[in-house]
Amino acid sequence: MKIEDEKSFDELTDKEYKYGFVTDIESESLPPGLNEDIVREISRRKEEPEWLTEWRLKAFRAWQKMETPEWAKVEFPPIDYQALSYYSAPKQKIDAPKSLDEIDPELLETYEKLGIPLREQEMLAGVVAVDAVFDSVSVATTFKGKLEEMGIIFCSFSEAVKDHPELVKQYLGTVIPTKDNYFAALNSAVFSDGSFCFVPKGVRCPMELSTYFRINAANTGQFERTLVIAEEGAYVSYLEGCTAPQRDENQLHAAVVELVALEDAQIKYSTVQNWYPGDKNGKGGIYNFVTKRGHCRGDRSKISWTQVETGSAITWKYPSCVLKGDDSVGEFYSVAVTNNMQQADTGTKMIHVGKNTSSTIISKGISAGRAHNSYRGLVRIGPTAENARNFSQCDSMLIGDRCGAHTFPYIDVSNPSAQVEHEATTTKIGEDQIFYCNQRGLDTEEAVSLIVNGFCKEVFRELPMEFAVEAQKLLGISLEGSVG
Amino acid sequence: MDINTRREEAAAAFAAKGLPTVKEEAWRFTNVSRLNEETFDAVWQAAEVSFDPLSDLVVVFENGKWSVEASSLDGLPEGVRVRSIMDSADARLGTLADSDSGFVLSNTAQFSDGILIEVDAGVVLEEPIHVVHLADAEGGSFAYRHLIAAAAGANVTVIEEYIGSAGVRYLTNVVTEAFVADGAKVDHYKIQRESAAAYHFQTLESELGGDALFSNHAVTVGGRLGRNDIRGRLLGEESEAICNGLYLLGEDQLFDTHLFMDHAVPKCQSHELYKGILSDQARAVFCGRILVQQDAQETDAIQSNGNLLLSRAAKVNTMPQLEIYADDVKCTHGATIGELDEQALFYLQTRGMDPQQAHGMLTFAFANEVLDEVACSVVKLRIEAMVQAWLAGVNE
Amino acid sequence: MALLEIIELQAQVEEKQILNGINLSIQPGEVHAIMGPNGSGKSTLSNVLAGNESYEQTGGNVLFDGADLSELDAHERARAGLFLAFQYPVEIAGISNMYFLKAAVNAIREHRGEKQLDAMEFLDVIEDKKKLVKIREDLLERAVNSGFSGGEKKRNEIFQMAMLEPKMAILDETDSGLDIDALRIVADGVNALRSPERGFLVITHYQRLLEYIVPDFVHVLVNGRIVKSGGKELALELEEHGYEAFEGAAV
Repeated sequence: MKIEDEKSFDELTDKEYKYGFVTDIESESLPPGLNEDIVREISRRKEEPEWLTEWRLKAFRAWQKMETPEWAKVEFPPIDYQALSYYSAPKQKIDAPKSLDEIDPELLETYEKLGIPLREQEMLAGVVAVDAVFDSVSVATTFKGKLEEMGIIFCSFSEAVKDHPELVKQYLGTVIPTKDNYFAALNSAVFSDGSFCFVPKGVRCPMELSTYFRINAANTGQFERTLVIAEEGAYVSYLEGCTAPQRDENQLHAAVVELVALEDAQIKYSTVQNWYPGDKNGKGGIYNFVTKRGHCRGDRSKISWTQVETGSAITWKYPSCVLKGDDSVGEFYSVAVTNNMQQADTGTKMIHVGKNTSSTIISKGISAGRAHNSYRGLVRIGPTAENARNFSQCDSMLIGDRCGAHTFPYIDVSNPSAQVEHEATTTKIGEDQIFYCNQRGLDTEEAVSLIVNGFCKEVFRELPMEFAVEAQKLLGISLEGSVG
Repeated sequence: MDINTRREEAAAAFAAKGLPTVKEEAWRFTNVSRLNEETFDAVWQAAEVSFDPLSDLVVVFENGKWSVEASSLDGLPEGVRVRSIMDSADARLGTLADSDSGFVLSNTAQFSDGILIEVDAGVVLEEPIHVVHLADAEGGSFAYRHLIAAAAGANVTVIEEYIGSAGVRYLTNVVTEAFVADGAKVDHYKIQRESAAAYHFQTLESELGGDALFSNHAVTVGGRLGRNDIRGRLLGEESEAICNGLYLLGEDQLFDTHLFMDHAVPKCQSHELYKGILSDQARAVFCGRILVQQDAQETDAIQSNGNLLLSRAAKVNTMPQLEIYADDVKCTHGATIGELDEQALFYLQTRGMDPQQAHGMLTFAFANEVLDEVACSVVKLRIEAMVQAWLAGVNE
Repeated sequence: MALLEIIELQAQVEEKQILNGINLSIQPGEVHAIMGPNGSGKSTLSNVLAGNESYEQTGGNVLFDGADLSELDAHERARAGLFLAFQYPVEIAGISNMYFLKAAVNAIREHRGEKQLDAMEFLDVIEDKKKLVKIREDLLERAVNSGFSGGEKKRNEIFQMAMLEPKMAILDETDSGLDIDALRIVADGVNALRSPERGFLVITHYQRLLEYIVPDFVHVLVNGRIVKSGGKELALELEEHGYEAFEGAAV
């Protein structure tokens, strides 16, 4: 493909990150640096119980002894963890807003700009309940009352610590132990807020639960923590969206998400990640180092991860499933788009322990510009996993000849009744396809977007409707300027 | 650098580095530390191991040394030279196998013999060269260094076969370098049936010019612990590399295959088909990496690894990998682990075969598929018989 | 005695009832055709008759040569002389067609108490039969159905039928995916194998095949039941009016 017109090409590449504005709001931040006192201070400000402070300190001590993982195919300069601030909260007059009226109007406006009008959401008999996390603190959770009637708890993590300490204590860190990996340990030590969701036995959550993450303050890291528990027979669909302002320096986002599904429970977790990717020369952008894992603890439980990763300078995440219950099911559907200087190393782990467990992995990696996109995944069939099944399909698409697309699956099988199938292909957009679209009146940019959307269809159809539309748009935006 | 200096340097490097450990990514699943605890010595003595020659051109190595009496090179045509690597100072030696792997370093430092096959430009040798390695010296250490050089348009078939006396413990460490010039064709076969107590490691490095063909078929049934490192570099356009293999493992065997195919230039093809059948406590490791460099447009690379586990205690680790930096390529890889296809079992039964027969036939078919591209009929028959015998042993 | 006697046959796939009571009686020497729209249960019927374990017989009886078919495993049915030409023949890489056929022929011969064929005798039989369906020599050397075209696969099925000499042959949509020339070759092969002792059940969606393999009886299968039976003229009637007229009748 040729650059058809220099001018339009430049226009396209210069198109700005839509969510790159900064909200002018006073915030209270801790001074940069990380030590035991900072960890204690975070815990103190959040008025946490003693056990949680100790839990954080244990994680911090473990983290100090750990080293940054280097096995992923991503490159970045060493991070100075002492230069970051580990807590930033929008300054508020009162401790916590009792209703949306008490929330700083600037904040509400921010969320409206992001397309998440909290106030409207509350008034409309909508289908989505939202928990919004601004920098490190949850600012609003909508539809709380309605959910409470059904016994569903959906609130910020801090509230959960205050109001439901027994649940938090029972489940926190049981899926991802504090020492699991470098970034999970760091998160465990300094996490500031996040979302908490508990769906009791037999309850089907009637609406999509959604958390919106936003990094605003400069020089802060964001370390939120999400815990979703679905008791026996419960069902919940959970959405997560992320944006950040456009800044020249890199910002660290090290989140942890833990999911627990008991017998016959189902959790569907969808992410549209659109953190600021940096500019076209690779300046700035979010380092998105996230640990996500779900435990299918009960028989016939199911956890399904769907992710659309278009943002971040570097993405390092492997949403995984441990299939412990018999007949449990794990799914991973992923679209990762990298353009310009972005790097993504993402995939999943499916650990089969129980009998008749099955897992499906569908991964679509699209690489453009000078970006690198790697799929890295593990399928492990343990000796006890009788009749386990896995199917993996990893497809890569390259747009241009300066980028890279890589596939690194690891398959470990210790049971003869297992059936594991892995397939990977690499393709490019055919010039005949583009020509065909051109002939039908689409310009090249539209044609690419159309073809790429088709390439990702298997994943998009797993997303809840509203998210699917957003994801398709995002895909178009992130590939702008990639055709030359 | 002359070969002696190179050998001294390799010895020093090996002394400093030692054998690879499980901390290295490429050796994660293959622990060779027990080799450090056992002793192996070079013992050059004649071997009392029988073998069936697959060609009139036979070179026999016995416990680490070329046996002139057992070898026969009568009728070697003009333009083909076959001699001991010890009799020549070939400048190409070590230029392909230059990795700093402990096994390669140790081989460079210690090799006691090996074969040098040179085929002049345009010469086609129809008769395969059968290179037999016999081992029966308990505690022996055998380091062989082979070099195959096919000049432009030359054509040669080389069969490396390793045979050990049952129950004898020894270590074979081989490095083979193959230079395949423009338009040349080298068909290389490796049949590894070392003793069940033996250790076997081979690094096979090949380099292809333009419009060249290199094929390698590696069949493994022997050895307690072993590994093939097979690496190909496609340096000329329109070349093709085929690397197929079969491993049939039982008891506590561990066998590791590491393939690396480096596409550096446009319009090349590489095909890799590996199959394994595992019984008892056997373990297989497979890592196949295809690298497509930025200039290697129009690459066509296919890789697949299939495994059949026949026992509860058997285990397989497979890692097919693609690393791609060019956009106009056709690359696929696949890996499967699992039971025989139920549809196929049904189909066979509707044709009158009982379930056990159907099972046996499909298991054989599974292994046999790897032999589809074996052009050399004597090799094909030898391997088919080995597969049948191995399967019969499992069913007992 | 009927060669194949199907009485009130019911069957399900993945817990979904597909056949709702089929009755059909085939005498030696007869050719019966079953026609039906997509999803009417045609393939289910052939799979149940051949003994595919993914299909469960939930009611009724099938007698083959007087024996209860449900007592027999797939290979025992084959050895007893029941042959299924598959709609989608399975590809088996790594086993040559020749090797495969020899194993099958000898398994069936052994069952019949006949002596095993040696390589030379086997080749003679092959020579003889391969003319029937004009099968190319190289297809015999290639792996079973691997890389065969649609037409080659179907021809290979009929070739196998000729080699195995069944008492009763079921052809499951053997015409699907065939061009007119291939269709004629396949039909000629089948016609050559018609005999007073052998029964045929030809399952098809279109009337076209029946112009070449002329049936004695035609049955219309809708929603898992035979809703109408008649002579070969019924096929023409269907061609003209479609299946729609019958769809109400089956409910």
